[in-house]
Amino acid sequence: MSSSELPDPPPSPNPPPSSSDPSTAACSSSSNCGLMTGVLTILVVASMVALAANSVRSTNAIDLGRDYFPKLPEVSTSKGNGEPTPLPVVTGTDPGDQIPVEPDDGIQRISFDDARDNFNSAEDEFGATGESIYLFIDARSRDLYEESHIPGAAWLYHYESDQLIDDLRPELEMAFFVIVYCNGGDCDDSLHLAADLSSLYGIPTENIYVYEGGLNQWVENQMPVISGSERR
Amino acid sequence: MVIESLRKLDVTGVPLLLARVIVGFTFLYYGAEKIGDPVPFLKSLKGYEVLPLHPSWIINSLAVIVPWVEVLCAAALLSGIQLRSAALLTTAMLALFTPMVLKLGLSLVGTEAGFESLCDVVADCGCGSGKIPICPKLATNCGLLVLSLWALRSRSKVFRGGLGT
Repeated sequence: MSSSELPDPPPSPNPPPSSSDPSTAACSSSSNCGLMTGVLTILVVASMVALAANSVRSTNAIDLGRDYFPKLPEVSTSKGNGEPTPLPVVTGTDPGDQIPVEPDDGIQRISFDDARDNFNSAEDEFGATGESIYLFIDARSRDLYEESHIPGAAWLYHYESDQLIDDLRPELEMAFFVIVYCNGGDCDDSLHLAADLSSLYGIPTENIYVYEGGLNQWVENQMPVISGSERR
Repeated sequence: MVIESLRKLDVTGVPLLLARVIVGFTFLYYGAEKIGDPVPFLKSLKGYEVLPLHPSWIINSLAVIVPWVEVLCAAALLSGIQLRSAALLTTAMLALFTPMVLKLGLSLVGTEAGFESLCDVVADCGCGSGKIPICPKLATNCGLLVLSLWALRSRSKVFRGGLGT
């Protein structure tokens, strides 16, 4: 089926406008003028309603000026004197247990093994002292967080992070290892949140790591998850 | 012969009514879902890789405005007010987004276990319905495109709705 198989639109009852009339020169007929005027009307009304509604909604509003898909500034790999510095590393349970990361795009990534080791360290520290230098951050929506998350992970939805960051800032500034995750797979909210944590919220870039395997890989490896709004 | 049959069918107004109801309620649903949570649509717009990410207000504004365009088109189709203009807009949106959904589906073939062919791919196209099989989505879009075109080109005088002028 194509448009050419359908009947022609009804003929206009009015004569076509004179091409010398600048106000109607853009319309080939009054029928087309009406059609395009209607299109413009719908677009203008929709835009006005959309922007007004977006500006007054308390949740799920889009900040029109915000870059939701930022890239992390490159981690410097050289000192001021030109001498290269060691690549950033994640420390596991043992301070000497160094885990290499990938600094090529400025984002430090950790594998499942690293994430598991850091999780175990965090749980041990929390059990012993009630606090930890490891902080897991869940960048997913509230519904997904409450459905299941890594025990101890704080909720910081990337698209509402500007409203949530203040409550978490003390912990983020205290943590030496901020490990951000989302679902994994094609989810890249953890990467964007990691970039924002550094560039927008002033968390040291060298403290931020992304667990790209995400919750899906975590669950596949039979690691513990909990549901609900509580962290633990 | 075919055109004559279509013309006779169109005069009954039934195809127009079906087009208005089906496309109208579909766009109402899609638009309302996106308005409720615009973030998945914003992410899908980014995932299609056809819009510039900078300046960011372009993609952000589209994520806010397009769902309302869908809802207003749905209202126009269902009421019959500005029927042809709404049909032109739904036709344009479907003609624009359907190839993008196809491109998204093709880009995911072979990227995961089980995504052996296009019809195996399950993805969130940002259409307001979450992760869905791509092939049925494409078929649905093609059907909606035909119905939108019908509403745009129909000369039936019955079931046009509107204000009765």
